[in-house]
This record gives sequence, structure tokens and C-alpha cells, in this order.
Amino acid sequence: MAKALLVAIGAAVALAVAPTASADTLCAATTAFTQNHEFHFLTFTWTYKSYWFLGTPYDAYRYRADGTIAYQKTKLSGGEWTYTNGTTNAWRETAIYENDNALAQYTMRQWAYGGTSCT
Amino acid sequence: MNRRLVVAGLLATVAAALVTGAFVLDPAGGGDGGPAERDARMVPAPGSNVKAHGRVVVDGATWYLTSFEDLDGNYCLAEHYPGGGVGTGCASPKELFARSALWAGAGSTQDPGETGRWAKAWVSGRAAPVVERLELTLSDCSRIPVRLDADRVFLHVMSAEQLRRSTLPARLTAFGADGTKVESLAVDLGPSGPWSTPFPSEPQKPCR
Repeated sequence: MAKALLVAIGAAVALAVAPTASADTLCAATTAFTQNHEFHFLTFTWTYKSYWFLGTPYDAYRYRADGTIAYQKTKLSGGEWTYTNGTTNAWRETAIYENDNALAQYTMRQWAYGGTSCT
Repeated sequence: MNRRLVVAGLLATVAAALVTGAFVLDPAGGGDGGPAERDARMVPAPGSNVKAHGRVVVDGATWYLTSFEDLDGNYCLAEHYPGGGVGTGCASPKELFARSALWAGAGSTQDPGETGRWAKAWVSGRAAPVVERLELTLSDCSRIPVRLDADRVFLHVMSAEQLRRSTLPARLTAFGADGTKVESLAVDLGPSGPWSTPFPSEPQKPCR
């Protein structure tokens, strides 16, 4: 039984390491409501991919630390959008701006590549 | 022996589930009430026809689009930017033209340290079958024809020279086969954020 337990632990470790080694690191995420042309921000982290969703028209942003816009996408009909700068992390803040007055739920997420650190 | 292996297998499964938990079941670590891990599913489905569109060279750099069907059967359009960045949007066939004859967007970027102006700007998307011709009105009221390919996909990138003249995309207008206007969408690149001045792209006076 002890041998079986050791085999089990070994298999569990093997299974655990494989997916986490390749999974991206979620650095920041939010789902909340927006209204009346509000801006909403995640935090600055080492980020390679961002995801946005809002059912109304919006602008998706990724800011640099100096306040300039590394990337801006206007979604004229709303919907989902992702941006990835390949496999390279950059110091970015993800933001969303609702181009509408309606009360609507948005989602934003940003990840570091693979198992790399967000900080 | 077989019994021990079965027990070991069961224990391994339970232990792996406990150890990996969110990573296996929730690779993005979401669970925040948003669309369930859609980001991970916005990739070509196995066997999906990944098709290239709208390759353009602007200021010596190549831009292009690809279209594909994602893992949930949605239509996706990916923008491939110089330098390796990729922006992707997807919509179900039902949603695609539910609100507009144009499933479209605009994009822009600034150079580091240059908060006062855009370094690049572009419009892209796909037009509904009713659309025969597409036109982009700029903020100086000049009009540019935007080419639709056989799949009615389009990409237009503004050159640095156009942007230096503070000319920005202002309106996308779609026309039907008989020349009637079927869609007109204001394209405002949006405020640049709390740190800098806005970039209004709508003309100060209505264009004739």
C-alpha cells in the first residue's frame, strides 16, 4: 500500500508539473459594471496577453509606464478582443473605456507568458 | 498487483486534481464571472481553414489579417502587426452582423514618450454580403476607398505621413450594389487616458 501511495504521489507531481509549466500566469482580472464613458484599469504587471469583453462599443488599451498607449483597439460593436505581443512580457497596464452610456458588464484579464512572474 | 495499480491510479488522479486544481480546470485562473475562459478558445479549431487577408506594406512594415473558425465555432479575425503583435476578435455567425452591416474596428498606437500623437492608426473588419463598396472618411474630410477582398474582409493602415498631418480615421461608410448607403459608423480612436490630451477624430464641421 505504501508503494502504491508513492506511485500515486509521483504520478500526481508529474501531472501537476506538466500543465503549470506551460500555463500562462494570470496577473490581474476583473469583471464589473461600467457606465457613461468610464475608464477602468488593471494594474501594471509584466504582461504579454490581455483580454477584454464588453457588449457595448468600447476602446481596449494597453498603457506603458510613461502613460503612452502601446496599443489601442476600438470595438465599434463591442464583443471580445485579445491582444498578445508574441511570447514577450512587457510592463503594461490593461484598461477599458466604454464608448457608450449604457450600464454594461465588462471583463478584463492580463497574463504573463508561461509560468513567468507578473512582477 | 492489478488492484494496487488501480488504487495508485485513483490516488494519482485525486492528488493531481488537488495539486493542480485551478491550473488544470481553469488555465487562465479566471472564475471571476466573465466569459468562461474564452481567451483560450479564440484559436483555430482543428481543421479550420486559416486564411490570410489584406496584406499591406506601410512605411516598410507588413500588416495582414487571418480569418479562422475558433474552438467554439465562432468566426474570428486576427490582426497581425509588424513586430509580432496579434489582436484577435471573434463573433458567432449569428452575432457577426446582428448590429451593423460592418463588423469593424479601429486601432492605434503611440511611440514611447510621445503622448501627443498617434504613431500608427488602422481600420479593419468584415462587411456583410449587402455591402459592395467601403469608404473611409478622414478627419480632414478627405475620402479613401477601402478595398474589400472576396470575403469582404478589409484592412487599411494610415501612414506616418498621414498621421503627421493630424489626419485620423473619422467614419466608415458602406454602400450597397445600387450605390445606396447601408451603414455609416463614426470611428473615434477614443481618449488617450487620464495622462494626456484626447484625440478627437471627428471633423469639427460635418463633411459634405
